[in-house]
Amino acid sequence: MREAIVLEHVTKRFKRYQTSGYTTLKDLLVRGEWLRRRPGQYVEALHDVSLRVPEGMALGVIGPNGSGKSTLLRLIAGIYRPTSGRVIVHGRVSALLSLGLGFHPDLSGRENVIIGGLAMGLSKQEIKRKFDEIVQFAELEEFIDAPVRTYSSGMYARLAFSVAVNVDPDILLLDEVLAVGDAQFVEKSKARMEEFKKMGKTIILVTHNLAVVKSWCHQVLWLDQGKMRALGEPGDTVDCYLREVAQSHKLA
Amino acid sequence: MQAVHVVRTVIQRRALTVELVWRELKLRYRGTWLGVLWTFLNPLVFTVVYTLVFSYFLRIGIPKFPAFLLTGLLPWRWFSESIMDGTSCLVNYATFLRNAVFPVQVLPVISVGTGMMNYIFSLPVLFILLAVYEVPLKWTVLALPLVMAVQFLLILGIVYFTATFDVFLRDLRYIIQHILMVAFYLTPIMYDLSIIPPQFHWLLKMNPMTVVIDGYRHVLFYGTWPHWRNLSLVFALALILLVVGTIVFERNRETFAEYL
Repeated sequence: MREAIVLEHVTKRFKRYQTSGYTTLKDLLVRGEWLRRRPGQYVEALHDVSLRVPEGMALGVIGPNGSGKSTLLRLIAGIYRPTSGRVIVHGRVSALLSLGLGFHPDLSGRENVIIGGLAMGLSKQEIKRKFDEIVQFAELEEFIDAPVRTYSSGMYARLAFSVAVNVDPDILLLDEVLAVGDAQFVEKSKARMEEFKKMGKTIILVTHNLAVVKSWCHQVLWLDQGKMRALGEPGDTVDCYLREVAQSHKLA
Repeated sequence: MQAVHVVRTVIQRRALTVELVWRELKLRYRGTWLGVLWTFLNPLVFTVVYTLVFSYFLRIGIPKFPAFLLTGLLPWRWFSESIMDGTSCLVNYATFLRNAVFPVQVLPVISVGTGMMNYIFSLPVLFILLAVYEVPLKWTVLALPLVMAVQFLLILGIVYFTATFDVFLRDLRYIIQHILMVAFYLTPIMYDLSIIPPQFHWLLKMNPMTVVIDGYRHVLFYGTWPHWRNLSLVFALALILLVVGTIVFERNRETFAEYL
């Protein structure tokens, strides 16, 4: 089987204190930051991760907050570049990393869909063709010409999800998308993801919803503090993870 | 190589570029009552004030001063607005860049393109003012797109630099604000080069915008052809800036997302 995504010994380091990742002139001049580039100032978000995701696999990624799940998706999406190692991706990637895809609040849903689609690399014709389907799926027919800032968070999430899944990607990266939206939309999203799976597309799903991971993913990757703890059958891996969470709870 | 890559990306993603320029223009005046009329009003207010000060209070004897002033003021506004916008364009689009696969190379083009569209929208006011002051339009107006093209490339070359550095050093936008203010007075916009003592001419001639503004004056106000040699020199400078700017931009592109 062909591989959709390959990660070879991928390590990603960030400079510490990302909130002020940029420097100000004051820092440069007063504190002499220019001269100081100490190696100890880094945080390792991912450490030596190697992974092969064959085409058509639905991979679940689990782990506590800050374990590197979102960083992993951003590396695959090409938003970050690995500090060392290689990331190879075959096919068009659609990523829903945080809800919104960079929607502009003052623009209407329609304008945002067009810009979002163009940003993902669709042509205007393709967007026109898919537009009705996107709106229909998001159930926003009545509100599509209203500015996005007037949307409820659920509506916002539905539109973003709808764009991400309707742009015909080969690889779909989803970060906590099932956490928002009402029960009905979650069901609908799951149905859509199921369709994707059947079409042989590759999906990487980051979620804290372990039931979904267990029942739906082919394989599960468990990340802990940026390191791979396990990669394997959903049932065993999730159980293992749960046991450990319970244990650390008891200890604390 | 990197410059070619940037140019290719921008050409490939032109639909997105055009759409985002429209978005900028729409957003600028959305929710305002006068809408696009503000494009006309801002330079008009400026022209009235400066005419009062320079023609009546200080009595600088430039004939048809309002038309003279606006011919140079509108392109300057394009220049300074696009550089300000462009310098912070990566930070302004941070949500896009953090969360989506986005061709970041188009962003500087959007800032410069938006400024250019604003300039084009304000041209009717200029033509009316030229007519009011009986400045006849000559065939030289055909060279206007050429002067604009040189200006476009010059701004773009600068913005690829400043946008890159602004991500890492956010003081840059404030520094540039001040540089632009100084540059405004060092460019013959409110005055003519002829009233400046000759020993300072070199200072003004170092400034590529002097040549560009002079180009506008020639084709629109004086009805003569621009100084082709000077304009070509600025064109060459713009190309050099563009090549080096895109190289710097591309080198740092993949680290932008981490700093935003």
